[in-house]
Amino acid sequence: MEYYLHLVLNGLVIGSIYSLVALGFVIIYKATKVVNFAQGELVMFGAYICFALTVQMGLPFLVSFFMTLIFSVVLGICLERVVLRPMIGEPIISVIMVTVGLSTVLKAVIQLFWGTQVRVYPQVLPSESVWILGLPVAPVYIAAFCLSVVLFIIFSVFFKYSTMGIAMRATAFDQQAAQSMGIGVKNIFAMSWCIAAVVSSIGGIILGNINGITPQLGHLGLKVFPAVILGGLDSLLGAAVGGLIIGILENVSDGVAQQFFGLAGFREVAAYFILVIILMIKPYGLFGTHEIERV
Amino acid sequence: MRGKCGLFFTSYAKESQILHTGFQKSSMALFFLVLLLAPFFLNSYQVSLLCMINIAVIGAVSLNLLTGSCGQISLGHGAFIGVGAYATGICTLSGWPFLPALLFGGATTALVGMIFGIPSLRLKGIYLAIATLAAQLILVYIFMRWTSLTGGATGMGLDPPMILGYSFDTDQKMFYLTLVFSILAVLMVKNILRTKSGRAFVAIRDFHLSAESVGINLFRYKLQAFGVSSFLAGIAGGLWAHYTMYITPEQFEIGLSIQYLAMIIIGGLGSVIGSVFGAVFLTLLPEVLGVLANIMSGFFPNISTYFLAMRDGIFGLILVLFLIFEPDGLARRWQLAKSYFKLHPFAH
Amino acid sequence: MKRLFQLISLVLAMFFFIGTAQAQIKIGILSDLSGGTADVGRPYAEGIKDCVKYINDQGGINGQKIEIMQIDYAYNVQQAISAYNRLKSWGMVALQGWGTADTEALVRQVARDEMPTYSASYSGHLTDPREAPYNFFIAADYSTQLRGALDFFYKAWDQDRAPRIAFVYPNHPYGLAPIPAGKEYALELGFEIVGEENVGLGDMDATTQLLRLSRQQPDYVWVGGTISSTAVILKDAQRLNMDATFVTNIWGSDEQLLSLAGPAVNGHIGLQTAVIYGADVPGMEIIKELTGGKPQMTHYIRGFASMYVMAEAIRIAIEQGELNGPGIRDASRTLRDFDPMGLTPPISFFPDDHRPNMSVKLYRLHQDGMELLTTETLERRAEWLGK
Repeated sequence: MEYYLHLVLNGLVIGSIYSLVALGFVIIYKATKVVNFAQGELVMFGAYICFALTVQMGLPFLVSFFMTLIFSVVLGICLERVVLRPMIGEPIISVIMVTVGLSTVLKAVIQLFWGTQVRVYPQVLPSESVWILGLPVAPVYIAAFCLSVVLFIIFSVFFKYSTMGIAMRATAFDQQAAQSMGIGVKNIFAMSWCIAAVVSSIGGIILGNINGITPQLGHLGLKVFPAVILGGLDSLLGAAVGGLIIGILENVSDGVAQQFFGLAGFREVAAYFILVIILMIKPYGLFGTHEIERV
Repeated sequence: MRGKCGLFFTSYAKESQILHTGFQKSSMALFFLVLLLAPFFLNSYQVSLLCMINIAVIGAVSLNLLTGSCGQISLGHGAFIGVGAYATGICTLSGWPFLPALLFGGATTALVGMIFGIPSLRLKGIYLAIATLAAQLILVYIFMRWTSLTGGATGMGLDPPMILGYSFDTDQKMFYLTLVFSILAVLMVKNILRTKSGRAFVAIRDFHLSAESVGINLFRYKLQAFGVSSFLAGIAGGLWAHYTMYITPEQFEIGLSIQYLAMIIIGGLGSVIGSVFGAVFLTLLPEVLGVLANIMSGFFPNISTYFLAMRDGIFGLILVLFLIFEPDGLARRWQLAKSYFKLHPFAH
Repeated sequence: MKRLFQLISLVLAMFFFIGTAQAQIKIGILSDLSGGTADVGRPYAEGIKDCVKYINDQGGINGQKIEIMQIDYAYNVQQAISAYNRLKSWGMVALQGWGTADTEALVRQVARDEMPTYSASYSGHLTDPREAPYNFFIAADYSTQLRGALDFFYKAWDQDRAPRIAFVYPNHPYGLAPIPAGKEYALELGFEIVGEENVGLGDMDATTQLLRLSRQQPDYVWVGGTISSTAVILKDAQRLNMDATFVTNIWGSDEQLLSLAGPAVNGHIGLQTAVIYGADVPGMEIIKELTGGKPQMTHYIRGFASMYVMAEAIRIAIEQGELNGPGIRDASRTLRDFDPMGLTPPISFFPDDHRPNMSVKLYRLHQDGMELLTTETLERRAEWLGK
């Protein structure tokens, strides 16, 4: 039993990384209805920029942290303007493929400038493990967990109460109505991409602390999908909770599969397996809004 | 009837012909003649490229039927091709002759495709895409773990196909075999689109609620789309397996699905000839880039490493550029080119 | 339309250019420079190319220079196959391959085309000429390396009870390859096998698997992975306070691991089949000169050695007057205790046995470097061939 408790705990811990990445994804979808397959690469980009500033240019960590955020804002604006603006009104498959293409381009750019070797990250957090309920947890994960909670609270408040946040939700709901109310839709899109890029960069910096950075880090983007679908594509709470649930599910089902079925490595597909089952019952995810179709 | 005034049709049958004018028919015949004689003029590397193009064409037109014509986004095409490859491989290793094994592989894949198409009953758009992504990952997992059936991560070694004692062991012979199948596949998809099923698919894609109110059984036709598309994917997989003579689960991962999606998008969603163009374009792209890199390495020795490494990035860049500037794909360019000649000297 | 024709004729002209190269010794190189194994693929490819440069500077092989064509296939099998076809039509006489994916996929084709292939995939079954008649490599295969490590541990074991061993590997042919052989030999020696876990090559966390293993308290744990996953495993093991000694395989322990895993590597063992940069062997002087004294990874040295051994085989083939596939294959099979300037243990190929040698070097890993413990050499047992 203690073993399963550890699995759950470990899952919570890993899941907080997924939540961080999922938050960025949902922010973009909530405002622009774009499914971003390049989320993992955005995370990776933030990690590499911070690496370049801290290690290659020798700036103190706090300075490079803020500079990375500024870079992310610029990146978000560029991406939105150049790539996503022409895609408004295109069928969803085209938008998906644009983000897929974007992910390969970003990865190639990173490979071009920083090569393919694993890069070691400066250790900004203590490496001594914290013991929770008999399981040693690396401080990095605790930082990720706290960070996703903080970010989630910030953005929930932002979307619910601030003018800009409500404007973003309005744009996502009905672009034409929003435009007729005087909301600058293009600015909203740019803003949402910037915020998502910033959130992803923060996630990337945390991620880099775990095991260094390589251009393969973008694969995290695929892991995010079960989390966001589970939680509902346009629900922040769903993204945060979904990430944690997927983390727990992965670990626990891996343990169960190993113990009772002798299936090794089930965690690779556990999330998707559960996802399909959940989607059959609730086609819009656990917390997602049911789309009403009118003829 | 044709003339400077253009085409007009006097019966439904004439309208749904694939080739209308004599010019079209004779240029199609000429094209096939060139194709059939091609292996005698090209070296073995180029013929092997043509073989891969043929197989890619089968995969692309089948995905186009599902995603382009019926509107069901499928990220699992790579895995379905894998199912066909493994099913055919297992049969030939058990002693079945090649053609029945290939058809059985296709049928198995059709069944698997229909099973994974069941979610399409309730899911739409991105949710369906993710469900097919799940199919992709789960199927690859099964390939990896069901070691007794598929050889697991070590893979399966196969022999070249043998029909009635004639072994297709060179690239030239495989070219003709794959050409036959790709022509059949293209014809099959084109004809499906001319029938009631095809019209139902397009209706589902465009206005599925209206389609349902007109009496089209959505679930049945969606399953049909998944079935036919997966059948052809299975055929492509079986041919691929026997062409490369060695299959591993790694060959059928998400990258393959994305490649096929790129093919149909660059080619033009919903257009059969577009998928053919897309397949040719994307199969030749890495080769052309490699040749360019080699030429450039003559002038800038170090740049070739960077250039080669950028190949994936260039693929992504081309995809993005096509989507931004030519969202209707190569098929539209082709239509524009044809109408330019037809209406010259008037503007299109 | 005219531009289209021009483009087509340009492309066809490019194809012709490739076809009309001069008659030199043509060697094809398949590399992964941008795919999943690019972090180790690039140094290896550099090693091959530097060796070619060195040989050409010495005047080539029997006066004939080597001409290379390198194609990056990004660890994608389809691209590997078309790259192979392209190299074949370019007219290569031998191939420097790379990873498990391409080598496995091409086994039958290189046998059919009689193309000698020296790969960087050291899978056991490639050493059996009945299955892979044209495949060679210059490092002891993964199974032999694992057996060598087991031998070393058993000889160093001084307690009464049987030593406990566990295996951690990815579900990938490269990781799966040595496991059956390793388990068989472990049981033969007298180990107790207490666990087996899968950790994927891209995994960020191995806590779940290590938790299960730590309950069994193994003394030794075999880790078959690449640098990234090995670092994760070692760091998680340190975090969980596991007492076991981890032994990492050849692709998982190199200079990158030391910087990536930091203090977590201290005390564990890494396997190599070539010397590390700076070792006191004749070949190292040449490498230092070629690289300007800049430290290279072990993969570079193995790439260098691989090309060097192939060049020797080609030299023998030319002397026999058979510069073709079967000729180079037979020439390779005449190598007896060939010493590639000290860079690897001596290499011998036989007509019925393509195992280069039965030696593996064990290094103790520290944060600041690797310390050579010993070179284990096993006997060339016939029943181990191909496993």
